Amino acid sequence: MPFKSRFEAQTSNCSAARSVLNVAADLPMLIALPRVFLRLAVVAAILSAAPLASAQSIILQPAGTFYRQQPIRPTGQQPHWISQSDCLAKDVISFPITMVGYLGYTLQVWAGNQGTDCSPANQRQAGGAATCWLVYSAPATASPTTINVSSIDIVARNTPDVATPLGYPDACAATNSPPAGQQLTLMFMLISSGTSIVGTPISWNDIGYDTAPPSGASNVAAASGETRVHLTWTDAIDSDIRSYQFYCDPPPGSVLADGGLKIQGPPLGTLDLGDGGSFFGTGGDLSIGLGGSFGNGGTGSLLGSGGTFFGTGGGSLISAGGSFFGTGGTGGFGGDTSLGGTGGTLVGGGTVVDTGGTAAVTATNCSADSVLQPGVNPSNPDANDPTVTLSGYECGSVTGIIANNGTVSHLVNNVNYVFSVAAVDQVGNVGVLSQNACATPVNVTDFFELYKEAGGKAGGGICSMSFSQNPARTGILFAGGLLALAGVARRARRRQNR
Amino acid sequence: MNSRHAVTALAALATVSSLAAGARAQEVDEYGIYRERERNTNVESPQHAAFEIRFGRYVPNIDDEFNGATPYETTFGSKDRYIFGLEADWQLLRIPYLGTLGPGLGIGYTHFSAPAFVTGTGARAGENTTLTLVPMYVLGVLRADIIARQTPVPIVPYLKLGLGSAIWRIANGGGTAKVDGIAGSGLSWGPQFALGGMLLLDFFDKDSAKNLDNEVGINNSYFFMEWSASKLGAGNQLEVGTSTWALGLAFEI
Repeated sequence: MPFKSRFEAQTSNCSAARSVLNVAADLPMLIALPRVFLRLAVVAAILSAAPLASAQSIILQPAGTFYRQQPIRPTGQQPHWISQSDCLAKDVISFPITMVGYLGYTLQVWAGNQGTDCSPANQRQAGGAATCWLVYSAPATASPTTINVSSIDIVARNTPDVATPLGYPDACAATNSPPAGQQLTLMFMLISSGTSIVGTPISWNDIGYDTAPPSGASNVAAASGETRVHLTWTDAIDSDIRSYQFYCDPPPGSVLADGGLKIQGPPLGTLDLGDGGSFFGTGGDLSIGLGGSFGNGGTGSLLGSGGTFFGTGGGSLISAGGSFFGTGGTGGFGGDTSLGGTGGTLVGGGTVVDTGGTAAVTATNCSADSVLQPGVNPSNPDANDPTVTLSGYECGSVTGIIANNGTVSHLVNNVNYVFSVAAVDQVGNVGVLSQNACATPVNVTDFFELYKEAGGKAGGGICSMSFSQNPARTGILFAGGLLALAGVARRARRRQNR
Repeated sequence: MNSRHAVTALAALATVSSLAAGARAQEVDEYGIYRERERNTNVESPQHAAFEIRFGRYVPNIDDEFNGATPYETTFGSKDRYIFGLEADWQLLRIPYLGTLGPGLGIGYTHFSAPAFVTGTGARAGENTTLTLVPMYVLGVLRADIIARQTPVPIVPYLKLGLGSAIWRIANGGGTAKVDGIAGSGLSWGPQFALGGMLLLDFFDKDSAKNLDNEVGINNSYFFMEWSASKLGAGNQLEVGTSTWALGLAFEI
């Protein structure tokens, strides 16, 4: 039997003369024709569906399904951006995706500055024109899946042309970021070979990095209140400041009965009875007198010896080498910031305070012994130990890019505190500590206390209003006024009616 | 120049100004004088209310409560303090040959601040103590505008009498001050009286005044000066009344 195609076999019953052109004259042929078209349509549909079944596509799940190892910041604080601490913590951002037609291809994620189209090959290959850098590449083997992108890879910006790629921790350096950060575009794509893309890449724009902490606040000053201190400063110049963080030393500790801060260590500036037989104590930075006493003594200083707040070189305020009431020798002179002077006593044979050294000057750092030192990064004060932070010294904050004052509350009166202020940017980078300022909360008498001390009886809120001691007089006056007004009005109406 | 001469000069100036304004009202073209009739026709829009923007000195009489003690002056000093306020009057009645009469409502705001004291010393502390006052009042207002309407003298004397009150709050760095659990805030009230005079600004530019009336409905504009006295607070209330002056602008609509 000679070979016949399926079409020939199906149409073999038709005579050769029954062409398509004259089927109208042939009813059986007319009935068969729709079946032919139907089969042709099925074939066409199969042929057209085949390319669809093999098309590659990537679907990025909604942003709410992203997650990362570091805490996601609240909305409004650039939750998907990478801060310096995120980078140093080697944060990983996870993107859940689904893919179609992915088998045999490589899934890659390329990063570029916001709006950069990384799909052209020259953007992804060495040659001088590449502005995108690879942040993820792995064979596409399953769908749905999760792409884990390293924050370090995002921040490093290792484009194909980079000769010496940045790695950890250099990539996280502040110098590797614009001050206000850099918004990026991530492009998810399937690669067949080399730089050839299959399917259509998809983009994600709500991401970026800012590893440059803001500059510090300046001109910090502290004013004492009752169990609180009011801080003022000159705000930092950066455009991405979100808040200012306060640091206190002694730091907040366990809660006292009044909800205040726990004093840790000898409180600065308190007068303690120390050893060595002195009246005001020894050893404390702010103790009065080292070895000074009612009796004769050795050298002493107001603020300690050897380079503390005011003095160096053994100078003292009251007496160096002498005593308050006794007789004494000669004390040393202070350094540049000392109040010191030569010894002597109040009662004895010396002078009370001599004028040796330079008088007290405004210090840029009111306590050299505090951990709150100007220029220190509170997120990482110890370069040798990245686990150390000064977060335990945080004692308040105020929000606002132009904020320049705030109050630290719940302090303990008569304790000398050291304060410092650091700016915080939109992604949570904490700037360096400002110069510190010292203040001692004290009991304060406000106007209401003065009023009460004078015998005043007012107060208690609006709802506690009481009537005057002579309500009859007030009532008569008020009623009289109303009657007078009513009389005038009545008279005026009469005149108008006439 | 003594005061008598000054008054005479001012009166002369006012007369000349009014005559000049009257002369301007008659405009002339090649057909003769025109607009004279419409100028003489009273085309003022209806007038129902007056509004005042005021500014004045305000030093409360808090220390009057005590014999010798001066907590206010000790804290805030003896220098002048000032208040800003607004007042709205409903000119309910027009009394023929006198003026308008009606109720008025007013509110003001002033704030005092000074460093508190370190307890037990006279030294000032690093935190401030403050006193905030929001005086309010309900008054009957009589404005005798007959003089300005019927004579060349553009002055409107007025009288206000009624009841005033003031919300007050004393604060320190931690918020509202408290002594033995008693909050440093409250309400004081008492009688209030004011006497003042308004200078009709329309007098100086009648054309602009008419335009203002036609376009935005402001019948008259005034500059005013006022003396007022209030006795806000007695007994267990903080005495925040005062005797003081104020000046400002008033508009009748």
